Amino acid sequence: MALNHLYFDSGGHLTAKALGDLASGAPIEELARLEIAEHLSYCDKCIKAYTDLLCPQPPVDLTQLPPAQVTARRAAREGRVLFLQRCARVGFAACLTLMVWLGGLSQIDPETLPKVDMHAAGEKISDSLADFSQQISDGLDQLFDFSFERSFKS
Amino acid sequence: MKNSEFSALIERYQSFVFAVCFQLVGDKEEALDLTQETFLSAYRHIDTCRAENYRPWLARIAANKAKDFLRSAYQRRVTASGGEALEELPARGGPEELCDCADGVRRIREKIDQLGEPYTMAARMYFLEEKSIEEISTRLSRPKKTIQTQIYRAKQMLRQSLKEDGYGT
Ligand SMILES: [Zn+2]
Repeated sequence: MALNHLYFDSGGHLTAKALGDLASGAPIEELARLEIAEHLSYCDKCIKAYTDLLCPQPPVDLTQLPPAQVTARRAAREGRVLFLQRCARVGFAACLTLMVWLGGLSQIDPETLPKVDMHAAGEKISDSLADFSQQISDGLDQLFDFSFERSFKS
Repeated sequence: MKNSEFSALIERYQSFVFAVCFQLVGDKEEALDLTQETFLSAYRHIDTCRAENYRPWLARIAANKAKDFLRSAYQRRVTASGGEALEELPARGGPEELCDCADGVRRIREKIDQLGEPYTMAARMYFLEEKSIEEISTRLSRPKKTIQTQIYRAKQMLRQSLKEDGYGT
């Protein structure tokens, strides 16, 4: 119990000791590290205090990481795949409308296109006009929530 | 953001992101993987973040990745050794399970108060008020998985504390 009182203050935020131990690489018990990571993943106040502690950053050898350009390209590619998978989920009609609307159809890599059951999509579209409009509207809402316009810009 | 701009951002912040991942997971190889994953996730939402906030924003994504990694690593290890996994938590262990005695609830209440934050409120709601993880998460504005971990931890500490007092198992 004592360890947690050292790492969390009475308001449930991370203490200076927790942040200091973390930033200095002091050994921290596994479950405590998980709790610290969980707290940092949602608390603005503690993430700010922690990142301030990490400034300036000591140099570190990162040659094992792929070059930045490779990661950036991979991110863009995975972004497109995710976008298209999302399209398949929210409805082919909504996806098509959005692509045409944003004028980005030509920038979609055909290899990344998900397998869409065209027959089923066609039947769905012809089911009823009202349903179709609703589907487009719902699909667009979800797509915008996903904030994915960027994949058409890059 | 264009790919070239994103490459420049990676170059600028990768040591920083690596440091966050490494400090949280304590393993270089895992930290390298998590650094990559952090940037892959960051790309999807980069337009929602202002440049002056990149450091805390990236640190937060990295902490999130580290949290997922630590959680599943802990889960695997505990499950393999026959312990109680984090995910099993919703199978509620009420006060009577923790302390099979006449003044159990009163004692539990005291012990819960002694836990301190971030555990007391979550544990009180879970063990005494029998609220669901979802409800506690909403009430305390903390992610559901964080509440799960905090209840798990609280339960561990309560058991330990009651054991020291000669109660329970
Ligand atoms: Zn905090």
